[in-house]
Amino acid sequence: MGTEETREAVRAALSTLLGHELTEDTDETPLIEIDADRYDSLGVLDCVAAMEGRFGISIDLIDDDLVTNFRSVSTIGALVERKLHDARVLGLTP
Amino acid sequence: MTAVRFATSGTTGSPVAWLRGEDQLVAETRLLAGLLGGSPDGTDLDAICTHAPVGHLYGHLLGHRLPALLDVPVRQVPVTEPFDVSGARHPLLVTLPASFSVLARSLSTLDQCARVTIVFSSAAIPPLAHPVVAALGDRARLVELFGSTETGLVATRVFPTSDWTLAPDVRFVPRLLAARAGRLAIESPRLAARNSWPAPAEITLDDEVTVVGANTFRWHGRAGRLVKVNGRRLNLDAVRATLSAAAPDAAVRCVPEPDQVRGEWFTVTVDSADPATLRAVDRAVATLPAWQRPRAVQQTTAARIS
Repeated sequence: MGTEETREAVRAALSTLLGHELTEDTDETPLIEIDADRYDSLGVLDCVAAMEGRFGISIDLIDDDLVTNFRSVSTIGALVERKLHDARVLGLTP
Repeated sequence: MTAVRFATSGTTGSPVAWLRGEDQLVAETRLLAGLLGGSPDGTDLDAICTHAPVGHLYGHLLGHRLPALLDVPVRQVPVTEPFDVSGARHPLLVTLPASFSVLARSLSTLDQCARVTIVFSSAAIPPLAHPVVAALGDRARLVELFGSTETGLVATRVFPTSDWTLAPDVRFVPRLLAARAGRLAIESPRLAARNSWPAPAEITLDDEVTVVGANTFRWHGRAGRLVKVNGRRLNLDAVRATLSAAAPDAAVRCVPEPDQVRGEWFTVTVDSADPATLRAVDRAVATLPAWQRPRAVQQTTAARIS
């Protein structure tokens, strides 16, 4: 999966979570600015579980700071890409 | 006697103020200290780490009064962050439903702890709680509290026990003892007063139970259509009425479901193939207070096929 594909998949998963369609235009926009009601602290945890389920990765809340990594589609996509890369290197790719 | 005011949202969103006397709060804190303050092997708590806001009764008792009574430090962090157990050998973790999502992804923070006591209140415990406790093995003790802002602590159970044991100063009302089953009705010296009314001596709750012993009961669910979303009681019939008013020709249902982050949540299903009807329901959902909104609005299968 390439970076753009990953970001598209993140965008699709978040669209489902938030209940409305996200587009490329808002990839850099903080998700809390897009939907403060849905992307509250519980919504962030929903998002963590959704990314783990969608990409078969594990988020470690000690190493993977939620405030910076789960800020926008772009930052989440970058985190997922790093996790997938690490899994490939370690031979853990699902 | 001074009183402390706690507000709840009410099942339909209207706030309700509950007054708890200082004597009630002191008594309840002592009960909690007896329940949580030590462990069978004598390892006393040395820190209280909490996700619970102190403005609510549960957070106030466990994050403010209990640490003062036990003379242990308290560390509060937002619910999205791992508990701060630095230096503690036997912390008490005061959890919310979402805490187990965090614990499951930060278990290594507890490596230093010889024992971990986890206390949970407020709602159906999320499915993640049990694997978290299992991963901690013999070091962990999970204590569940049954109660609410208006009742205070009613009963407790220690995982994996399934039945609840009444708190030492709580009793079943005689009619429930005689019937053996029905709505949970109790007498307690720690019931809250509503606004300026005197505190009642007994209360009948929304919970359906079977009495299984002089002071134990089995919980079967809530009467009516109440769910607890992140510990806040929500009447699904009221939500459905609001949404149905926006789509009078469609069958609208609120389907409760377990949730790893909120304990319980619900999905709205709409039995209509008309896009305008679905949009009307979406618009009505948007008018609800944020915490009352569903996980999703879904068109039912039958409507999609037609």
